[in-house]
Amino acid sequence: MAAIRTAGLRKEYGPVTALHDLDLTVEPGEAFGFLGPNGAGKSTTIDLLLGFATPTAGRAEVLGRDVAAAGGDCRRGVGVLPEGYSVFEGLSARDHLRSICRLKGVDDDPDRLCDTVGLDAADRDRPAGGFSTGMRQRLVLATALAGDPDLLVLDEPSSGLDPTGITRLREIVRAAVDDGTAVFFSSHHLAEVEAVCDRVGILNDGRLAAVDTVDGLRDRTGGAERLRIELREEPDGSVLGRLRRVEGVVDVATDGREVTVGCRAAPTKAEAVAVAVESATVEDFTVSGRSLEQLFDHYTGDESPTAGNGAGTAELGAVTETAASRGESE
Amino acid sequence: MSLPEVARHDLLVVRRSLLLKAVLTVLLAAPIGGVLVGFGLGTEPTFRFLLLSMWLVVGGTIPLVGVLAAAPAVAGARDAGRLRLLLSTPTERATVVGGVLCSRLLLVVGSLTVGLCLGVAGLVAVVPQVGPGRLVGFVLFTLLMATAYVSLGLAVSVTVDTATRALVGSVALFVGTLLWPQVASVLHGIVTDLGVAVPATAFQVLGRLSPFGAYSQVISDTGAIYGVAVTTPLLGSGVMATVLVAWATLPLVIGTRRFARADL
Repeated sequence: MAAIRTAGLRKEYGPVTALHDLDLTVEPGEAFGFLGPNGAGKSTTIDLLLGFATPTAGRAEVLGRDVAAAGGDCRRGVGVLPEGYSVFEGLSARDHLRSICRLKGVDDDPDRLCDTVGLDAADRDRPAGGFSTGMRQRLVLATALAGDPDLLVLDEPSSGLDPTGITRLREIVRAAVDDGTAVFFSSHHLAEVEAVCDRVGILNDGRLAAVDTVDGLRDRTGGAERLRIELREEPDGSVLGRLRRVEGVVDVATDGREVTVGCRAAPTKAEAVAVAVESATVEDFTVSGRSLEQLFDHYTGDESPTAGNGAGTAELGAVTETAASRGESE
Repeated sequence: MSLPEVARHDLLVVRRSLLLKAVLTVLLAAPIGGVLVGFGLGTEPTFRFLLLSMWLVVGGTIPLVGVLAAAPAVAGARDAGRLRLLLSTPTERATVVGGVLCSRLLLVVGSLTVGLCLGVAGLVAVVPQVGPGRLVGFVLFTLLMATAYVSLGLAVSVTVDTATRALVGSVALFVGTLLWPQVASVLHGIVTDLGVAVPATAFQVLGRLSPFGAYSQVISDTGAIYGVAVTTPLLGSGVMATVLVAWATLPLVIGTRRFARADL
């Protein structure tokens, strides 16, 4: 049973199609990053998954339940940090959590939840109306975590959080995933998504432009990371040969004492450095590559002509088809 | 998850609000205020006169308090984003409406019951002869009218998507239902002037189809404002009670069905 499965999910608002036939699967225990520029359809997708909006066509299943048929029950076992929420200003954090636990039908300890999200003990009994944006975000994250849900749907969860809060958020998400919870992580903070998510989906103009691991997306765009190794002496053929034989190495080039190695994935870089150290005297090394931000720009068509490998909007259709078929097969 | 939990949550939310204080004050004071107004208007007011003055004060204030107590409940929460937080739980939208209705009815009808008890006690204490049947009818119909207006306010609240629209809509509804009996009279006059023969009873019944018209028909004296002689069973208290029950249920049922399908 998938945590989330959509098939041909479509939403039209009058003449505007906010979401085009989305096929997507999120597996249990997976952290799935959902990316897209403003107006791409991310929040519409989440609204459809939570039953906040009715699809024009297609269907969505959450934890095996058909959203259209299940009504409010589709959110059972789901923890939600929604977009555009507001707290109940007169209620304290404890009151919020007690009330949400009752409405969820779960028995959880408000103090444990406050501890988890880092809400200070001194703040737990004062009205949430006086909370800062970050504290409100922590509080609503705590309500999402109440009852140990099987699926967390987080819409811009790091919004308003300070660096400590963002670090804690990462830990919470990773801990949840380690416990087998699926996390649907919609965010503009690409670094956050890259740090915590196993796979990412990039939505552009209501269409799923790509869905894969970050490394997979790099591969598809020819965006292998570049490992630059500076040696004490100009390398001979045997050094280069050994580097070429490392699994995951795409290409090897030299420029005097500097060797540039194209690597597909993180372990390849480590292996290549180890081989270089064994074969020659390494003075320094650096890694550069396509960040998720660059990949995002590539898939959303915002990439400048000089920044990428020439793939443009015309390629998006083909990528979409691939992503959709991956969703089907999963 | 269940209706009592939503009601409990809503009571928690409003417990420190200005709304609660205002509602409590008006509902507790209105009935006894009606008795005092009666004493202010007449030197030795009779039971019927005092009941009429209570109708004047209670009938004018309770409908407005009723709609205002419920109108911002769902629309305001939807407008501000609190509804998203509430609905992030497995709660059905219809359960939210039901829970809020229970909570607001408890608030309004509960306070009004206490206020009516005070008013009736005051009335009984100062007037030697009272009509127990009319007094009981007054209390029951007043509570029924309050229920109808709370339900109407909530029906508006689930139909629109902002608190401002809900407040404007519910006040317009209050004014419309208040004026409707007179509108029916004016219509009767126009139709008569045009030479169309329509029984006056038809327009009298038409005028009593608003909740305020129905309430007034039962409570107000025959011949007094909004009170007409019962010349047909359609103007009797049974039909008027049915009219009030219909206002208390049908708009909210229709509004809830629509709300259940609405995109938030």
